[in-house]
Amino acid sequence: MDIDWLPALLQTSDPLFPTGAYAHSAGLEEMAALGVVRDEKSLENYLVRHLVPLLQNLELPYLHFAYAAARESDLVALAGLSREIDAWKLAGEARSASLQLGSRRLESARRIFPHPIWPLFSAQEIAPHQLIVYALQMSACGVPLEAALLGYAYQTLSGAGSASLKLIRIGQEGVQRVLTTALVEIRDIIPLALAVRRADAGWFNPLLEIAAMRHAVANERLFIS
Amino acid sequence: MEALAALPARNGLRGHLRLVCSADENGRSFLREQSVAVPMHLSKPFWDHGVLVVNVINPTAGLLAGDFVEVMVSVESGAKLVLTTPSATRVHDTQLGEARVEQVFSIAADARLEVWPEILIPQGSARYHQKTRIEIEAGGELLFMEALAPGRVAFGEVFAFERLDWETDILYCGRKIARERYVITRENGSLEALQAAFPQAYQASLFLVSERISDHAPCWKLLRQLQGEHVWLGFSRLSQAGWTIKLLARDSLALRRALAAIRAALYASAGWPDSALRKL
Repeated sequence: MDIDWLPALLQTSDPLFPTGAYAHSAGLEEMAALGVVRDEKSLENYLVRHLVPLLQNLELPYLHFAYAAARESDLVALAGLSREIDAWKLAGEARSASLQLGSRRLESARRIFPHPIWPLFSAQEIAPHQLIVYALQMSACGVPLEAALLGYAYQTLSGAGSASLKLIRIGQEGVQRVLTTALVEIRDIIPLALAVRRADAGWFNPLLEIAAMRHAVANERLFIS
Repeated sequence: MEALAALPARNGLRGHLRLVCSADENGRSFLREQSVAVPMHLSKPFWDHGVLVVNVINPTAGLLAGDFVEVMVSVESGAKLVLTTPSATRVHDTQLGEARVEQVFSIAADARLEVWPEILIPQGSARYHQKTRIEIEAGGELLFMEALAPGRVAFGEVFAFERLDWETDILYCGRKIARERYVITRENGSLEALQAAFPQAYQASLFLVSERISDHAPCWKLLRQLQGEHVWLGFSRLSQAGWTIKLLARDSLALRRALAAIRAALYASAGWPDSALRKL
């Protein structure tokens, strides 16, 4: 079995990889402030019923489209995808966080994984949304598409789990129990996400949007997003 | 937009609303072109503080199975148009064929369009597809609101509709600044976002494009004060040119109050003279 790509996936999906993700809660902080997430059970509900469908119907399909463009080194297509991400990330804070994480990942990737695509990408002045840069990185490292989607989903869920330790009364084992449940869901949604057409990619969650919008103007906060 | 003739034959009405709003030599807005076909109808437009207010009426008590409505509204330079409805739009049981509305709004430079309809009520077994495209030239202004009820709550019918299929694109100077694409059904988990806030949540979504409103306009402070026990609300700048406002409300009264307050606050900050919708 060819697993030459696996070390790169593990390395770039690990919190140790310098993207600054530790400073973001991706909306969880405000969801906790609203009382939607307050304990292990509600955290599991948040991951499984809010984040997993968002991944399935919107983020992973766009990662799929970006990965396909990255494989072809199609920077025009990547620029178009980046502009679309700008448009569907309605909450400014979520948009900024995506760009911030993407920029950090881009800088780190350029230094750690030299590849001809990086200078080409930077020269095009494409807005470096996290999904776009992650797709480029996975493609450059030869990570298969399904594994790339799984890695991205894992980072999203584990990031929320990590943030929850600072936001609600939950221990590390509790977070791992929640993550275990959510990851079962993730395994099942990968083929569904791959089947989503570009015209249909999208998801309804005004609560997540409201949380991101409220967090941006909150008087007190631990996380950037 | 899909041509009417290309649609497959089916039951239901095929109606349209086509308006072109212009400004005369005195700057007064008027309908230069108008064409309607059932299930759409227009009441007599009226002026209010220099803005032309047009009530779009649905004489068939709502959208029924197989209904298709094409809306094309263009607001030309210097014109100011408010499109509203006198009452809620109901989508009835449409198991025999979804009801579909496709709408295109065009706003020229120095023109203003407000779309402020009453709430959409998808009734039990309703299937509804709405596709909206809004194109705004530099300097054009938009206030677009749409509100969604969970159903006929007074009859105990809450989230009993079958499927709502939504697609909205807003372009400013040819660049897409907002996109929403989603399908709401009871089965796909999309109701979770509404019911996590309120079991019978009412939802509204607004888009505002105007150079008159800055990040520090007083309206934003007023909007923050609306957040409370009965209303959850957020607002944000879009990637370019405008703002979006999202809200969830415990019930229809809380929604109506919040929307009225939001509209008044936005009008005040934009410096637009109050444009009454003449509704109770």
